[in-house]
Amino acid sequence: MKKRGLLRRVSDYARKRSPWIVHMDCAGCNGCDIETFAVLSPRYDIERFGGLEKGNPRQADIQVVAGAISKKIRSRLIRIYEQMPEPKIVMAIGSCAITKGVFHDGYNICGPLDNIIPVDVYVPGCPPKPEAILDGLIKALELWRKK
Amino acid sequence: MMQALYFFFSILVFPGLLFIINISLLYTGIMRKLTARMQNRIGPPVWQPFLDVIKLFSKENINTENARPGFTFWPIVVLASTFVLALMIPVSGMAPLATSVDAIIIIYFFAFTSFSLFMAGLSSTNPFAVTGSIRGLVQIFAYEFPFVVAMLVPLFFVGTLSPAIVNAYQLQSGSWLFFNFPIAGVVFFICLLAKAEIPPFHVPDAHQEIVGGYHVEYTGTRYAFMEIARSVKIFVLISLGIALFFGGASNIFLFIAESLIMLFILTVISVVAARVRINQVLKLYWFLGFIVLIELIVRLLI
Repeated sequence: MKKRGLLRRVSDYARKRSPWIVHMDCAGCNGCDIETFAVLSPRYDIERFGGLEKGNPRQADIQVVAGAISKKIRSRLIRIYEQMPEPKIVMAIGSCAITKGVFHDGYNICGPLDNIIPVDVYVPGCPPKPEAILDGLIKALELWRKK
Repeated sequence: MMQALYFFFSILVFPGLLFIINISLLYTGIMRKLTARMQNRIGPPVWQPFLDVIKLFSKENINTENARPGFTFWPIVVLASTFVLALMIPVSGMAPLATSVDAIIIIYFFAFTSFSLFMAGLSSTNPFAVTGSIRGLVQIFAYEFPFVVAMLVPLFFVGTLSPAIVNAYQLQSGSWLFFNFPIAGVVFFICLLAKAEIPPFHVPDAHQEIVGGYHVEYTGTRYAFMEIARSVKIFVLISLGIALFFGGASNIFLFIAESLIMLFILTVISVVAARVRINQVLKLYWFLGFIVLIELIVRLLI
């Protein structure tokens, strides 16, 4: 592993402890969406890891995508991905985003998420529990070192 | 020689920039932690704003295509004008840049920080940012008048234009001016909420309707500047409140104790209250301005 400068180590430390997420629900059944909101709620409280829900991709570090991707939402998804400043991480939540799930033969479904934008962390489940999403988030934070 | 050194020390270290940046970010962290505890959450650690700011400094700066020339310039102005304010206001009785007419400069620079935020939002040409900026400007028209009049009440009473002298007067007489002028004190406190854009009056950066107001287009370093400016503004308002109404402070420990109590009250209000609409803000503040003007006139006549 290559040696890092002091500034890089400080910024890695800060990034790991301040993940701001932008959350996007594509053409799914909203199950994963509701589980993602549970992570933001007081019970699972993402803010104890320093995380915040930002409605704004320009200030977010982690894009959380739930649900299958339809043809309509594909361009918007790419646009939101491109609006996020580097370095950034993408999380795919639930079976529909990872594979196409139950929508696999849908006429309007275009590909799993990683055919469209690069995905870093996969959280399987239909829908995944909030604990699983939180676990995926913490795994994603370890990835800052590689970025 | 020693005097010049002390002057630079007081501007740059204590109670100057270094101290003010650190304590105001810490206060924002305490506020976030208290908010979380009041909402029955664990909440972030109190040093969370430092991590946020460091992270923002390490992120990419995006220049949007439609941005006007001022886009890169105004966030720096926001930060600089807030720092000037911070150096004017007595923190524990000391103000590095104090003059004998501080109050006038403070009033102008408060308006100028709000105006530069407005320009920052307007130059990014995002519809959300423009909406937030215009709301911010409307809010200035609402709160500026009662704020200034409420500030003038203790200044006229002591017969000075410098908050540092009011601070010293309160320490000398041993009583809080808040008890002499309860109406002006309460009005000042409510205006403080609107000036700091703390929840019941965070109309300009309403996260739920206009995703954050002015700073929608800002990323990386520029957003970090705006976040620091916001924290410093809250700290400056709290220390101005202590100097004018809430007892004054002779040393730093007394100051921190008093300001933490004020921060707690602010946090309670921000957790309990829901956001008001912009027309309600105008109605409320013109009413408050009317009341406090009557108090000022009555005090001047007696």
